[in-house]
Amino acid sequence: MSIHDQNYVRYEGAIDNRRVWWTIATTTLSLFIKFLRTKLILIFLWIFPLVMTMMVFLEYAARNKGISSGSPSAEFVSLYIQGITFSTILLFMASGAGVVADDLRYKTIQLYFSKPLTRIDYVIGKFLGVFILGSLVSIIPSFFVGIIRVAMFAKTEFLKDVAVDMGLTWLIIIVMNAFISILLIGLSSSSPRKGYVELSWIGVMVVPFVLSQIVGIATDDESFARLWSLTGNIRLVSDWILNGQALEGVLLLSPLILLVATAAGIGALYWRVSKLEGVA
Amino acid sequence: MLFDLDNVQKNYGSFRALDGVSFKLKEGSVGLLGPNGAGKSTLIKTLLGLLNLDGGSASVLGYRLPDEAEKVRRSTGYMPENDSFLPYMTAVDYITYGGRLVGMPKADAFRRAHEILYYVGLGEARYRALSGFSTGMKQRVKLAQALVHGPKLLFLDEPTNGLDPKGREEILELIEDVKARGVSIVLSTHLLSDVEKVCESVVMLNNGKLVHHGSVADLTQSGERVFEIEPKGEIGVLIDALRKADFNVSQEGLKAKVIVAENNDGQDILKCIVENKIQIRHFVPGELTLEAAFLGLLEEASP
Repeated sequence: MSIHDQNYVRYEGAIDNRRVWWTIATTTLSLFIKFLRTKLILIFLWIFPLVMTMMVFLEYAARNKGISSGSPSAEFVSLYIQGITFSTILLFMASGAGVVADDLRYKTIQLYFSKPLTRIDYVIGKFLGVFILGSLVSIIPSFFVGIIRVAMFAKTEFLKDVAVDMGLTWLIIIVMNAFISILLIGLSSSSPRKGYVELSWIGVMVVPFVLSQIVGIATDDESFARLWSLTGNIRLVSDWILNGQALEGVLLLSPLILLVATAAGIGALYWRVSKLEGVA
Repeated sequence: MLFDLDNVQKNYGSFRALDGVSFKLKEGSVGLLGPNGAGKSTLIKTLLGLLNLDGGSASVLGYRLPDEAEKVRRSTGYMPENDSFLPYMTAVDYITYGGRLVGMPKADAFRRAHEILYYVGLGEARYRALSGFSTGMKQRVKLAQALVHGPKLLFLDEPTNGLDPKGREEILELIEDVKARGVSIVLSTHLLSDVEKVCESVVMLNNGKLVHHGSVADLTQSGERVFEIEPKGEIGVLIDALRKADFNVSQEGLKAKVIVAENNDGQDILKCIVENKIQIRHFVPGELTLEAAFLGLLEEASP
């Protein structure tokens, strides 16, 4: 007896796989968001930009009441970037570790590479999926916070400075989100076990952050302490770009650490994809 | 032309996985046979255009490899041996995704996913997570993802693996139905009965070399016959004696299978057994099955 309920009909419609990387990106993103824990952490991580928005209003109120001098706070931007970076790291700790690891564990990498897509399509698609996920707690809220802050200084002589600062902040956050996404994909490519990836993410991102805080308090040298963590390094670079804080010796090392970490991530992914593990 | 391979070579370091494989096959269904490590998986990877050749040339469906590998994969479907899906996806999401990866528009892929899932008998389970699927359902959903974009050629890697007899029959029935609708099939399996049921021709590999290619009918009616012999004592003694006398013999359980020319009545085999003073329980002339032919070819090909 036939098990099929209807006959097989050959598909004769349109086929165009030029944007298959976008299909991979959107599907990767939707699979992450499907999980309840992703939804919950997204809601939780929006608290920080909301608090920072409140600070913008307080800054505005203080200036109007004559409590402050009216010039924009330099600390605001540095604190904001570091906070958003840490939020992105927390998001990826809760969701995102399986971006490549799950493909290795469940052998879905076979599904991809038996289709007419290139390895570059896969890499770009996975990267964009993670990048867009990260942007939900970094780039998107930063855009709104930036607009609000610029609006608060609209009728002051600081408008241009604030607009440039917030524009640069937004760019720094885009770049930060990009290479943290690359790092995540790199770590995720290193093992088919998602748990190991999550542990290594904590080891690489969260533990150094905590250690750098301890070192900062113990040595009373924040710049030195920030070298210990990725978030600290990002802050050093952003301080350099935004505030022109040249730190001898440190400045060269910080971007170097970021570049090496990013290159390691790209290398890990390239190695995994080149192996075409499990296909056929 | 389904395949046109000319002296295809593929090395992994110093190991030669494919060693001068050449054959041409027209449309139809072909069984890919060979023991573990024979080079079947490497050949499938090569035919899908995933591996660069170290020598020779190959084309699939008229597309040259590796230059037109994407066109090959657009026109083919691949059903892997093992599970290859995220367990938290639903069947319809999985098939839709498979279609979209080939380049189908979202709406077409979604509609087509429903049609294909009904076709493979999973219509009622299409919104269930794949983690809850039985082995038979998983095999069918893998077949569905290979079919969603309407390929001209299907690569099926052990499609009946792990299935009970009923499930196996159902999958084979589906494959035969797909084949009847003009889709060419490459069936890689260890179950020779599956090949006999589905395929018109076979490609046999051993140690990366082509042992045989041709029709199943030619192989099983190749002017040879087989004798099954069961000794009273040690099977090894019988096999050694027959091999010393230059017979093409293979062991199957407690029996020896000897392949001889069609006009051979077995008298020379009996003579050899008597000369070696071996007692036997059974001496039965049988038909040359694909399995016997396969084992015979492997025996001939072994150094």
